[in-house]
Amino acid sequence: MTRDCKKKSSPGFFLFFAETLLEAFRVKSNRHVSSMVILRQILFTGYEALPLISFLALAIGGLIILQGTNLLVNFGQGIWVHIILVTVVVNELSGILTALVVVARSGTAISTELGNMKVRREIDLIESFGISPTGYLVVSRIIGVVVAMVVLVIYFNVIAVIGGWLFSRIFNHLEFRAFMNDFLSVLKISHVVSSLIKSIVFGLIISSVSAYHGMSVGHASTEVPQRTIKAVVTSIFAIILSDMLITWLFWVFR
Amino acid sequence: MIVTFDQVSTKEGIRELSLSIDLSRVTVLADPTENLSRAILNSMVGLDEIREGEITVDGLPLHDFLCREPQISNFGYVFDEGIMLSNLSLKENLMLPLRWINPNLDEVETEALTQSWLKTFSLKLDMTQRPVAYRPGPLKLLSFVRTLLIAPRVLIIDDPYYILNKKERDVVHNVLWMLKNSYPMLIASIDDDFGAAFADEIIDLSAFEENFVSAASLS
Repeated sequence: MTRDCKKKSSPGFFLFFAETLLEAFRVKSNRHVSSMVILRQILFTGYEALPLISFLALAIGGLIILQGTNLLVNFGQGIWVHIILVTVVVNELSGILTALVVVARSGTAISTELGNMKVRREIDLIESFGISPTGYLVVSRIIGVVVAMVVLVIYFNVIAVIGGWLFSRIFNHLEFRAFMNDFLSVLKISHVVSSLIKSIVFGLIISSVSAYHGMSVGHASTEVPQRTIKAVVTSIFAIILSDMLITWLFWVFR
Repeated sequence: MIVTFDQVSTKEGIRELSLSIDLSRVTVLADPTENLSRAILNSMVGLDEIREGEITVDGLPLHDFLCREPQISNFGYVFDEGIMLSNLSLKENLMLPLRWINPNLDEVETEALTQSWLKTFSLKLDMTQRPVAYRPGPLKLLSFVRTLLIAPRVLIIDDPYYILNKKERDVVHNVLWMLKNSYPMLIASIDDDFGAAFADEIIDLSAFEENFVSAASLS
């Protein structure tokens, strides 16, 4: 599949997304979907974000336990603090906060990198080879970001639970086994599935929106920061809306 | 190989251009403004959006011609600025189109060929470095090497001496003369003397000024 076999046009986002999905589904036959680009993207989006995600997850998990315990103990309901941990962290915060970190780091990087490549006519160069820029540059990044998002969200949940236990240990002298028993008693498979689905959807949104805005830059370098800002704002809106939609769907079909 | 423009209008600004270019020899597009010649080259390699009319190659629509086999096997395009992909090393830049055409590349043979072309262009570069480590002149020479490694049927060169210093221009001049009898070429140039001395045919695009609208007036 070469770039030449498509008519040139300036697609809107949904056409761009459809073309990207089409290229992604042909990933095995697409020689130009670079495994090196995918690995580099996973390294940048996933591995290099671990310190920030670790700090956030530990702090959020701990703070929720701390605030929740303070509040619920007054009513003799301290045990229910684990429900808050599951509901707030596993269901919502892990996906949203990880997505915001990935938007800030990788979304801006993708949009800026592709935008600068457009300005420097590197996209034209790739096209002149007959290689699809969507297949070579966009699909690889989308796969990389989605894989990294899923791993980061799982990692966030694990670290947040550990953070919650650490604070419980410090303030309530709660044993790990007891803490995990309480936590697992309220954790359902639907919570985990919802969290994973959200991470995949958020990864798709961040990478495709950022790539679209990067590829939409014309020939002026001043467009690059403008497009990057649009990528960030659109990604955040889309993430929150899709989060509400997925949560609502799980609530309806629970 | 004959490329024919039949009342072609494009997004980049070509307007109702009718022109025939013989690609079986060395043809120079003499264009004092550079705009139309670049737009013609871009439209031939599929970088422009054709809005009206048709471009054909030996009677075959350009779109079908470019789809028949990897595009760069037919038209090897050397950009005026000698563009390199900034996120790849120089070596990876050379290998990308080669591996695209032939995934089972003979590494040893390719390396020998690469070294031979680098010597011809008097290039001594650390190929593990990224393009940012070098100034534009050597990178443009390297873009010639990248295209010649492909051995396309036609060399398409946009302003061969642009951004080169005197020494680098001499190198390109010598290489072009060396290739003249073995490669059909289509060269866009603003240099009248170059065209007169080098080309088998010169197409003077100053007669086609009305067939180009500048980007400023397009918006």
